[in-house]
Amino acid sequence: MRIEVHLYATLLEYVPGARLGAPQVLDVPPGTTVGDVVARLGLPPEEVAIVMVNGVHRDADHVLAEGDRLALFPPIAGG
Amino acid sequence: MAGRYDRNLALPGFGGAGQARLAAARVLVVGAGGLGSAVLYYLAAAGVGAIGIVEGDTVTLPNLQRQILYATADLGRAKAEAARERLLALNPEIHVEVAGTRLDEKTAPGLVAAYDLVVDATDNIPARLALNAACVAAGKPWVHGAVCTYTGQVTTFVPGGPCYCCLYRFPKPQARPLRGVLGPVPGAVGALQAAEVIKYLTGLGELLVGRLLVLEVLPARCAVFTYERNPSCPVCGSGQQGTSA
Repeated sequence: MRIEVHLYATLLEYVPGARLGAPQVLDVPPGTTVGDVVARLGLPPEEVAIVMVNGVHRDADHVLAEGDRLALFPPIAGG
Repeated sequence: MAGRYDRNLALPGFGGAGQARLAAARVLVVGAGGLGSAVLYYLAAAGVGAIGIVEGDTVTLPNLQRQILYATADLGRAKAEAARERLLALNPEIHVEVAGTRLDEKTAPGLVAAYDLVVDATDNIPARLALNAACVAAGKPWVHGAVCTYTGQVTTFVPGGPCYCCLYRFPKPQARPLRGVLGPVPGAVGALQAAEVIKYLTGLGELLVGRLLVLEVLPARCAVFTYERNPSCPVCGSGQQGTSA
């Protein structure tokens, strides 16, 4: 099944070629969790502060479905 | 001679009523650094009647790369006092109140109590958690902004809508925070925060409620991401301490 992964800010630096507004389209097996995708993309889990699936908060063990839009944000805190 | 607020008054939908709302408003800006410099300048220029500043630091040389409220002659001065002087030089028609302290869990409820709306121009997550808790408890709207390197984000929280902890469920500081920030990034994010304040006060347009605007200046891209209230949020939802879920 296919999912879209939207990466923001410093998380973009971990994935070669990733750009804001240009989601990664991944083919993943049924049963894939958010945590599986984070690992597959090589993102440090502690740098992922916000996990949203189709605009709703989910945890790392959330199982993804066909067509899901996964967005991952680091903690942005400067001022 | 045209008046100070001529360009506000000429805006579609703004008019004298909009200007009167700004003049009657009390807005607290927490932090007078990179974000706060832009927010404070624009709110003062726009004629927000009473502006509070919470800032406990003094001006240092590395601040001057982006904190445009301050000049080299201000080095070593309390930021809150230097900011107040600069804002009143820009617009002597407003009131500027300063609190030379840091916002934390203990001080936040008292600091936000006297204001209609709060702007987050802080530089750390613990202060934002304290601000969120105080604003949710007091039913105050607040405008969040944050920056890092070449990126920044803005969103607005209002009573009944999603709160900071609906967005960041378990916010922790970055393990390896990056110190670098391009000066125009807090400038742009702070200007957007000021626009949210003016929109809230005048009732114009659509606020960034449930929407996180993300700005990335290197690829020159902007994205708006929607998010929802978390019904079991420990701060604003059924997961609150002292309430039965």
